[in-house]
Amino acid sequence: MSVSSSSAPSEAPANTTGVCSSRHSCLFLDFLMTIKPKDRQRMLQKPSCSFFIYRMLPAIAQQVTIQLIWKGSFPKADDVELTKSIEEQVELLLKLGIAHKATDGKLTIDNDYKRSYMYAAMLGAASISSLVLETNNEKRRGKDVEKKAVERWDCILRYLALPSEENTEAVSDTTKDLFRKANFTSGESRIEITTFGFQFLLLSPVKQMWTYVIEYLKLEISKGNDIVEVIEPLIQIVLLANRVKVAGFKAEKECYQIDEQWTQPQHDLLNHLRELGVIFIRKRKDGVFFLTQLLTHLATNETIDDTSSEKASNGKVIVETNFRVYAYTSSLLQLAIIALFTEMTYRFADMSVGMITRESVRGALQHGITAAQIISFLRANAHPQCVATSGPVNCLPITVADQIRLWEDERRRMDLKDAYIYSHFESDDEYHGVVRYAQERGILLWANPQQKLVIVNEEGHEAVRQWYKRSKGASGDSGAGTSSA
Amino acid sequence: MVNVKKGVLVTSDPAFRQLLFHLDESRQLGSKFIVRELDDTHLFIEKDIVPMLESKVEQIMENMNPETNDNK
Amino acid sequence: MATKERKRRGKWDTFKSEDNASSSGAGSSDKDTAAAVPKAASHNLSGENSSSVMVDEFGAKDYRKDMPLKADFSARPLWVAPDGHIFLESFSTVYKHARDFLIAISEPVCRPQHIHEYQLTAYSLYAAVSVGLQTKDIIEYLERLSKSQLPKGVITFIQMCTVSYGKVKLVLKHNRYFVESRHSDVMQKLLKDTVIQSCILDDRVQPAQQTDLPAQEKIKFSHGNENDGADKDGADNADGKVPADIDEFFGKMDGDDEEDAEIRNLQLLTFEIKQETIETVQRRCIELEYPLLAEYDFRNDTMNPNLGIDLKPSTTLRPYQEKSLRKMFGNSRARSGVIVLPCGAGKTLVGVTAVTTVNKRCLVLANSNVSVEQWRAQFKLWSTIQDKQLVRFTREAKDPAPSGADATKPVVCISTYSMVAYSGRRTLQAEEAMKFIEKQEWGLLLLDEVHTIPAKMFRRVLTIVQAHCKLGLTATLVREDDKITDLNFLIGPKIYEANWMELQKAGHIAKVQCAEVWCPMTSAFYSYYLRSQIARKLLLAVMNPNKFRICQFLIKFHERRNDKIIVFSDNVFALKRYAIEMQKPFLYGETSQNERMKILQNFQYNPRVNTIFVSKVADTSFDLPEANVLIQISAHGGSRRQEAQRLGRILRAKKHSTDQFNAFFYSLVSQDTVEMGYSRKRQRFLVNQGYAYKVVNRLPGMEQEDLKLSTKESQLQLLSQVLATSDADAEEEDIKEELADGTIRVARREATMASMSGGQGAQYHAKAKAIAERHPLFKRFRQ
Repeated sequence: MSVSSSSAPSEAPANTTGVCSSRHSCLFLDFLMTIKPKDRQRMLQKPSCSFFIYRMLPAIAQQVTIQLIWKGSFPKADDVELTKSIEEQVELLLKLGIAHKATDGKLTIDNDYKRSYMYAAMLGAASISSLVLETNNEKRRGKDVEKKAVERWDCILRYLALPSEENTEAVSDTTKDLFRKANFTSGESRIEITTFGFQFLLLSPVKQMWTYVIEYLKLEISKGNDIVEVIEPLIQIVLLANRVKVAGFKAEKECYQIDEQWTQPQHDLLNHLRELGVIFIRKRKDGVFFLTQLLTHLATNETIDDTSSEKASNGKVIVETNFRVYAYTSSLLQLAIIALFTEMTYRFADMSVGMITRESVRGALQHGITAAQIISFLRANAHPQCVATSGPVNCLPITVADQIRLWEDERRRMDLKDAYIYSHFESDDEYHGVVRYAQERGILLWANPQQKLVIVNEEGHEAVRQWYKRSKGASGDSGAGTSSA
Repeated sequence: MVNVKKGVLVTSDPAFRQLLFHLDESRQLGSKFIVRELDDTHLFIEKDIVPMLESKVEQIMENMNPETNDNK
Repeated sequence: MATKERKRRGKWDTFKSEDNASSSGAGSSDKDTAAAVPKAASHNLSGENSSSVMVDEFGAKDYRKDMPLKADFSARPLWVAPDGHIFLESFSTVYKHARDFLIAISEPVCRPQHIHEYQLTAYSLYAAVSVGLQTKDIIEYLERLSKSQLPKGVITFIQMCTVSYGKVKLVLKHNRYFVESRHSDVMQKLLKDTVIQSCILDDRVQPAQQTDLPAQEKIKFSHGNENDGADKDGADNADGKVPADIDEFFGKMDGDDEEDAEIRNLQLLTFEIKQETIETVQRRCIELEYPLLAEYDFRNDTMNPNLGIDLKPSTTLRPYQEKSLRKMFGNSRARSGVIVLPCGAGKTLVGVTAVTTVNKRCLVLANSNVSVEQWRAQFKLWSTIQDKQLVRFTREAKDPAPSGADATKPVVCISTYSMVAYSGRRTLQAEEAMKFIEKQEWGLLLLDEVHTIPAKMFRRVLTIVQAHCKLGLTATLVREDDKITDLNFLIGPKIYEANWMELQKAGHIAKVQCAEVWCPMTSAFYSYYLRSQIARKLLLAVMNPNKFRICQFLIKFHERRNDKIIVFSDNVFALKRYAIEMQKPFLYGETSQNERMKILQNFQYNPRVNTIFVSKVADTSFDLPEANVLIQISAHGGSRRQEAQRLGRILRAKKHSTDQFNAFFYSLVSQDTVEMGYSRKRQRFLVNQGYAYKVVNRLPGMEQEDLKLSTKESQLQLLSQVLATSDADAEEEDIKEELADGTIRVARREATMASMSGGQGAQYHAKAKAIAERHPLFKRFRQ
């Protein structure tokens, strides 16, 4: 068991959800690279999937792909300098199985991919989705589709920020499961947010949604479901996002048929998309679903996210030099986030008042939320008044930012490490030998030649023991082995 | 024969280390727990005392930083 | 009418009657004053509905249902919560319309940059009616300013606390005492009361003579041409963003005591009462829940001669000074009460102006001899007063009381609280001076730094001194012992309170950077610290070598910038040690007057003396316009008032104020010691005024400096010296002064003087001659 000081859980189980995808890639593609090659190949055979994957590729990769498809090879001749960036993206294509490298270094396109992509290209994006558009009749009119959609997504975020009884009842078990598996929440009987969960809350909506969807897909794999079966309808629905972007789109006007032939996991997907607010289903028996604006979040990958600009002038929070907080919002989500590290005192219809105290911040720190996260949240959400008077950094008073960091430092006054201490060396040589060896292995924590003491970390003990065995063997000494405490 | 002992390496600033000495001497954690004094910023201590140590330190910090907000 | 003997108490102490009971020296308990404070004063909103308040999912008081928003809520600047708490948007276009009004009716809780908080209390509402605001106007205007409908409980509270106040006044005119009111129903009630009846001089209730009515010219105060918008009194409605209903009402609220048109049309009814029954009438009126507002119609006081002084033509008032005086003299009479201005903002000038306005004999009470000197100097600086009209009564300067032909001529007498409250034996000369003070019918009693005085001493003073009007001047109404309510009702309501940040923005006080500098304890010092008792803990914390070095570094840093630096230390051992080591002059209780003057003058004028070390005596004693850096090395205890006062030492506005910080306040605290907690407590008041303390735990460039105590040996040597000190040294300094009970206390014992003899810098050190006067008493001086 690793003893860590009460600081951020650097040794917590690694969060497999990459909130930052690798360069040139995106969350979706990263995920694709982790699924079984067989499954991936099946995807490449489907027109809708190939088309969507193409959309998700970074620009250069797209060009390379096009070239490979239509021209059959890349690079053309030897006069194109392969920059690092191009190389990386080619690498990406190889990993996805879209392209292959022959033994002579030449690149070729994967045939399945080529075929399905060309098919899709001929049909056109609008039609590759096999979903059937129906005109809506009055009976099935969806009311306030947009509003309801946003509400749904809000519920999910709110649950994460404040897993109260009320909020818990508003989300599905799948969601709760998903968050737990993603390590956004922890705890059995009492659910609490973790640092990763908090980080998630701070993401832009597009990133949030992609992260969430990927987690869902992972959950499906873990349940043993056929991933391709689930991804395909997902992609088909997302491809419809074009329609949403068209001016004059009215969610209530058009709807799509829910295919009764779909398998259970596919129906589950649909239900879950409904929970997300990405689609809207009024009644199951209607047999149709509607698209919502939220769908556009998934239309592109998160690296092209440009919603951050609107955030700048949207800030609602004033933090004063006396540590009082005034939040001009009635959004439960915003308030729930603020309440994670603030003691709330007054609630008005349009504004809530609170105080940042040592206790409230330490409560957040204990959950693994870091001072940097709190500070960046407050800065990002600063009220325009504050930004106007003090600028984008000092909109959060320096003294408050400093104090929050100091409260975090308080918890790091002592650093504790499980270790082993070696003493009473029989000779100088022995001492130095151990020190050198430990240094080489990177397990040395502390040593002192005057006191002849050596301290190695927990893992290092075994290595040192081995060293002793070997050195005893080598020197032919019949000295006793080490004694452990 | 070389001696090996399992425990915990504590790294801290010098003043804080004094606090640990004080706790050790006054047996505020129930027993002595310092195995070796190393240098100005390091100590080697018993492992099982750690939970109690952390909680005691938390308590001391709490006392040193009283909540001074005017409550309504 | 001949001036009566000392039996006659101060007329204008509204709630002083109970002091008769306690003046014999019996322990005064809160019960005494409680009896004379209106019942409504004990009401407060926060307790009332705390049990029934809804709480939201985050634990906050949920007032959403109680406060439905109006349609145009974004155009209104404030929220009023059912518990009487008010939140004001200072960036609202309507801010100016709201600010002065809120100060008049509520207590400021905190006023940082964007959102200000206030609290409605019984005392604050009492103050509101005292300056002429009517119940229904208060409610109406507050309603218009509010984003939501006013909670019912708040309306009721306001009514309860104000409806019976301000309706009846006790007015001294032509040396006769009248109970005056425009409300016939109230008058009827009073007249029906048998106790009151027995006090009436004339049976008939008369409408006041027309000639008596104040058709007088309003009292004007001259002020400089301040163009800074931050202090403009008028509120602009430039872009028409102000809701019409607020704008209309604003004129009404901001005007000076224009009595409500309706009310003015009512007849002014009065009846005269017998002089000796003043107290009885006051007490009885309180019991009937119609406390009398005490006002001094000094213009019509023909019996008391005028001082004949005026402000010099060159004297100009700043807008906030003028505003506070306008509130005091709003209806051409002098109101008793308290004016609250930050330290260094010119309270003295306000006091002097009040004296010249009332123009009758005045008694000024300060809290130290040096303050007395300063008041004298300020009188001469701002007004046309002549030397012979200024009479000082202190242990060190006893100007002779006017006698002979001048015996009845009015003077301005300046003394200290302790001199007046002293009840032991006096010298003949002192005795005569006291008789003089007691005998006079003072027009105005000016109480400087009134909230620094222990309640007991204060009540005693009020028993002795008879004054028509009492004006208290202070930087803060906050007291650690929370006896604030008592005192506030004893003097009178708050007349005006300024906003620190606004004064700073307008350049009237310096822009100060406050910093809390963390000094890590050395291992050796901390080791002993952990094992010591509290007194020695404190000494070890202040003598922390790292603190010493940091102090030295800061001094060097600022001296290079040609700043003037004052270093404060409550602990005398530390004071001397630091000062002597750094070869700087120092002052404490033992320092003789001459020595003190010499040091201060050098500090002010000698370019080679840029740093002085001072003890707690300086808190109340001086006033150095040119200091702009303050370093606090020892200030234990959580006294917020002391912190504010110390800050005041450097708040004097600098001549060339820009937007940069031009003054610095460093509080050096030793890490991991009790000093940390104390420091936080002390900061609270200033933080609520809008100051931010920057925590500094690293001073760049310090490694390059050549500072003392850099070696372990020197540090350990210091440690052993500290451990060898006696308990007396370990304790705070006790200021040497006379107490109300006559004992003289002193902090130092002979032995320690010897242990401290150093040699370096001894020229500034008060010599051992003080030994002869000392008595080894060690009573604690509790504030």
